[in-house]
Amino acid sequence: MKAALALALLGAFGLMLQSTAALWIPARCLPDLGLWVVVGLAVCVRSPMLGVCLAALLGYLTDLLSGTLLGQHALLCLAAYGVARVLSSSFNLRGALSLALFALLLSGAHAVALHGLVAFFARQWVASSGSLEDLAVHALANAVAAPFVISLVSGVAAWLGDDDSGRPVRLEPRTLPL
Amino acid sequence: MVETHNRVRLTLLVVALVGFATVTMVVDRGALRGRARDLPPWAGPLLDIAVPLQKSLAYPVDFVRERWDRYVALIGVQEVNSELRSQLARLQEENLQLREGLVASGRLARISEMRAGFEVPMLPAELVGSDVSPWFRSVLLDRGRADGVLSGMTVISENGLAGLVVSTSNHASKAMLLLDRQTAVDGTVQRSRARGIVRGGSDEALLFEFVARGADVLPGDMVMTSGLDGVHPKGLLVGTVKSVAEAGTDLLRTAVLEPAVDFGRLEQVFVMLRRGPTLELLYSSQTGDTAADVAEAAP
Repeated sequence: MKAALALALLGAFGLMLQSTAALWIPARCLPDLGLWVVVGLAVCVRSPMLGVCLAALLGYLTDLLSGTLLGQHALLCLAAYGVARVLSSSFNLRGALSLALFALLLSGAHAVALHGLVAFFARQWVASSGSLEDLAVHALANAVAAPFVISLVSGVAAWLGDDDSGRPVRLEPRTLPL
Repeated sequence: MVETHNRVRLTLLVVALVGFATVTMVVDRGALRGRARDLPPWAGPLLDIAVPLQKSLAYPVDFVRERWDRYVALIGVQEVNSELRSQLARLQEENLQLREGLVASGRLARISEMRAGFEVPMLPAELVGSDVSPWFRSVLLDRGRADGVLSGMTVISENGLAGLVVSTSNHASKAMLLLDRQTAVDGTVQRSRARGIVRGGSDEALLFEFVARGADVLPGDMVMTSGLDGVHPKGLLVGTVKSVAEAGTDLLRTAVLEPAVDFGRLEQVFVMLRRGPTLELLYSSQTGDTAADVAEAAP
């Protein structure tokens, strides 16, 4: 419970910081702090129930601080959580390089999915000629920030005793031929 | 057994959350098509909490900027002052001549009678946050329903039209800026009265679309709101024409506008506490609240 509250507050604080900073810095140069907290939840937090609930909550908070339809970021955060959870079982998503690469790919997929949802639900196309350049800058900002945010989430989870890095691995005893 | 049970519970939770997100999107989409778009009861308080927190986050930067503006940036203000004085004198003279002209034509008395009907109460509001997504351009304002702000009200700055309030909670509201690609404003060129639709473009510019091929639009022309969309009042400055695309074989042309408002430096805006006739009709038929009722109830 303590971990859930702390991680929710961390995500909410990140989003508010991002929203406030966007008053002075162009939004494309700022990383998606909420999204990276969600990825951090998938990579570092043991309980998937907690992770899914927090991902949806942070998604809704993002929707509140954005001009999108309510529920759009929530859906995308759930998808990002699922993808990161599945990938983290096969790849090491805690290394800075692998995370930066994942951040670049996820930023692109996130932008495409967001534009697709707006086009489908609101019948509007919000991409413009400068969108690709914006996406490149934004993906780079995400790639730089993602390792820091995820190590922060990992630190908070470890501090409150919900880190996935120490999960017990069940090893079957090998039966040696006599 | 326990593991299977947990897996089923997780699946059900994910399905419920995805379903809820989809439903909220569909409901919000309905709002875009003319229904009242006030935030749902669970979302309003979250936004109300965010406003003071974001204000406190912005405080250190605002403090430094204010000190800078008050002391360091005042170097050279004397030259600006004298220039403004001479400009004021010129405008006063021009105003006097125009009044003389109006009196001579007997219209001043009628205009002053009508003026009370045209004056729109305005509420200053501070920007406390900007859109967290780079693909949309909305801002969070520190005034909400309790102050008389309703969805559909026009937001202006001292330089011109800034945007439109799209959703409100008790003590906060979200406004979509003119730069957002989802915005559309009916505009007219002040000089030639040529009409078109102003939309958000890329690189901090606006697009003046659907301008008739033969319409007289030139770089430097000022584009104002026409008021014909029933959303924004007539005569608000939107921007200045930067360039006009050649029509070629097309029947319609597009011009690029430089916005009148510097959105990168926007800190304070004014909410016009009256909705345009179209939005007033749409919103009041659903909620029963007219802008005048809410403005009266506000402190």
